[in-house]
Amino acid sequence: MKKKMIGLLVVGCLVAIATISFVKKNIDEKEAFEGEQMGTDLALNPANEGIGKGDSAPNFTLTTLDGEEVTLADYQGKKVVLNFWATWCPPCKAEMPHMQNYYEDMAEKENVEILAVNLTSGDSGVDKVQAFQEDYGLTFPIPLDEEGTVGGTYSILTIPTTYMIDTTGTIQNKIVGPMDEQMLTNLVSNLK
Amino acid sequence: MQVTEWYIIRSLTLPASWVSVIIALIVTWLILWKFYGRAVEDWFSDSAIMFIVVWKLSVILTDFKMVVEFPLSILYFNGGKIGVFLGLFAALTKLYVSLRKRGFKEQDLKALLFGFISLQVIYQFLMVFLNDGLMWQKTITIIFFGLFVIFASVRILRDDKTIQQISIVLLLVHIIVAMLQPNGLFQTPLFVTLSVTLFISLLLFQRKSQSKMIRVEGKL
Repeated sequence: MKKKMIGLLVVGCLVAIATISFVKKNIDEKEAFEGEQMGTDLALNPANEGIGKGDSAPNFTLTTLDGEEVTLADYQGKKVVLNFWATWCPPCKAEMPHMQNYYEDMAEKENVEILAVNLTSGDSGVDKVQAFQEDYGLTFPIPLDEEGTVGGTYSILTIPTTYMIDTTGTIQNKIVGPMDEQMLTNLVSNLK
Repeated sequence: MQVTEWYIIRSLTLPASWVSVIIALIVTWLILWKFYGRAVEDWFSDSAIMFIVVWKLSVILTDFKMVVEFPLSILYFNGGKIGVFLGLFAALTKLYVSLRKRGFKEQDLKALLFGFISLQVIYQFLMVFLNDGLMWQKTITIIFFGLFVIFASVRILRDDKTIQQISIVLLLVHIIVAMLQPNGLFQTPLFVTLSVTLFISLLLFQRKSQSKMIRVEGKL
């Protein structure tokens, strides 16, 4: 009797598997847009500015190492990986090659920009940052936070710290500590 | 379930999946200790530690160039998915050695299945509670694994045959749930269940041939 029960259960499971795989093929496309993150509707209201999950990321304008001006708000419509770092910080050094690889392979495909804000006010000079960029062959923009105001706004205590910002300018994740390519891939692909 | 939540612990950020794995390992370890005693707890924790160490150090293999250039990478990174597979392989090998030393006792095999059910179910439940996702996918995960736990505890792992059957039902239930989860069939947790199901079959086979040998020797 019990053997029969188990047999039935196994057959039942197999039938379920077959049915699901058939039905799923038909509904997969419809749901492609639903698995995304929630709580983004509030973001467009500037009153919701802040640095928590679901807050609208505080805007800033900084000059990059290459002398160009970048404004965070200009990146709406693009995902942004907002990274804070300094040349003296070992985990920042460890994650840089991963970010560079990711940037080369995935930036266009994922519609993402990496802004690696250097905490220049707490670093050992722009020429060090320049040398670092060349050493590591970094091609993403490196805005220089020379007055420390942006680092302050985003209350950066430990570096590296990274904010994941979606296409509406909403913060979705805050990551403290170094990230590898796999982690970047997961985080960015979850962004809307 | 998909990882949407990350936890900041001092200067490190862990994905919800790792938080779930670690909690599941610790809770299972305590459960096995309570129900099966010191010896079982011992082989379980050996194998669990083996898994974590190999997973962590496997970054040396998966990202050799980076580790050579920046040795600190070992400290900060892990082997990712490949690391999980290598860790699992190492852990099962370690488990095989420990269980063989103890002569593939029935009690050990039961404890192994019991422990694995506990690991997988706690992991699945935590992933549902910690992450964002579609409500129906969360509900299905909870209901299917919940029903499976009830089924398994009713059967209470009577003899060798039941062990095999329960592990196969677990695999099938997991396949069903995985198909309905966002990551589909090609997800690491399902791969782990598949490996452990095969591993349990291997152990049962070993146990059978061993007891046959003893019987034959007895006749001689």
